[in-house]
Amino acid sequence: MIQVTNISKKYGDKAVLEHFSYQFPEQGVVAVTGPSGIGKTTLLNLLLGLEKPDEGTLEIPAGTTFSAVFQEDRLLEKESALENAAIFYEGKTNDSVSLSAQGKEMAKQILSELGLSEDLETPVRELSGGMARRVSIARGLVAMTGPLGAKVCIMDEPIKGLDPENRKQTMDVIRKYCAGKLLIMVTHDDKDAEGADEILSF
Amino acid sequence: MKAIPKALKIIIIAAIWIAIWEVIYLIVGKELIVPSPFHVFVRIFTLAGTAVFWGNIGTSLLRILIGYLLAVILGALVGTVTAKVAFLDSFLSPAAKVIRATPVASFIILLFVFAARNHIPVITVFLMVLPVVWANVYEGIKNTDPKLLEMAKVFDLKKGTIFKRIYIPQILPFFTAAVKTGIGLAWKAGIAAEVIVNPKYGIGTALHDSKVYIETCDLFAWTVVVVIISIILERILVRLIEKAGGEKKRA
Repeated sequence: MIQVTNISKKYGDKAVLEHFSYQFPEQGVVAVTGPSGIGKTTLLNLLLGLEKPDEGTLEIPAGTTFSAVFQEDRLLEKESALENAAIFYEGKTNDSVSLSAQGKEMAKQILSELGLSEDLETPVRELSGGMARRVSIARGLVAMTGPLGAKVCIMDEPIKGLDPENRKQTMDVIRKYCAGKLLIMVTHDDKDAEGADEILSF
Repeated sequence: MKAIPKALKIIIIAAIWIAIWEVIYLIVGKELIVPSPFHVFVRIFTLAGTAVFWGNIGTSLLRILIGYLLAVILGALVGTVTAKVAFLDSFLSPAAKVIRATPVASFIILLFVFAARNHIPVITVFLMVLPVVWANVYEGIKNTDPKLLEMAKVFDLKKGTIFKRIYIPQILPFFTAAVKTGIGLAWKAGIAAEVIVNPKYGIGTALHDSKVYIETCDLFAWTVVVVIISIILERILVRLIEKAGGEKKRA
């Protein structure tokens, strides 16, 4: 169980988190809501180990592995949707620099479920913003699957900027692949927070 | 203009420039100062029939390519290391600055003390190209998106994968630019070194001799040869890079 206790984080003089505590459940969907600039993304970065808190403790059980969908897509622009999505299937344990067949198969499946079956071989830089966003989501979800799949997925406004018709479909796919695991998701949209098991509101 | 094939266009433009050269020759009227293009081309063909001509070209090419290749390999290595290790960067960057600021001629003359005549052009080329490749690879690595590296860290990506998929695409355009600039630089610096140190064979030696014996026609002939080889070298290099880049894409 991930436990955050009494955490504070400052950038210069600006405190973004002050004595913040929260116990995350073992599994389920936790929606993190609140106005922008209040420290939601900072909390995610702390959980991912990308930043260190100024004060307080962060207890993450040994062996907890993370997957993530960042606020920006952070994709490899020259590579195809399929390559981008498949790259984290095995992470560090993949000895070869090339991608595994299973990883590609899984990436193909998830990309298709997200409505990108026509664009598997398209380089990311040629995709529209919404499509690139879905590739980024697919990458995060592929990392949740397989024998080495991550146990926790952290998503920063995953469906922001998607067309209304894609939003529900995308959310359904996200839920499907995060079932039985922990999904921590920042959202500005109260509608997206509705189906969550817990709402962490700043 | 569209109807004219590319090759024909090049020939027409070349012919105009040669005509301008001929006009200058006629105005000057002294073969010793500006030889006629016709005589120069005849001279090139005469020279091309001799073994010494090809020996000179082969020797120069070999020297320049060795120096160039060493500089590309070491420049890429040092560029990578200095971009990653701050201490080595501060330690080595003054060296790069000094090498960049030193005139080629100073190097060549200084090298007389340490190196054999035959090796000086190789070392000169190496010293000229090294900082260019070094600086560009360094820039490429420094320009790598930190957000992508962060992502790689979160997903616990292997070092080899990070190198191939994040660093290489980022460095490649910088590296390609350095390699292209470097070959022109290598060629000119190598021949300049040969002119000064006068090894037994080499294009520079031939240039030097034509100066000593006031063979202006030879001087022009060799210069034309240098320009032609320089263009061919760059073409070959660009093809090679494009081919390598294309294969990487398919992998």
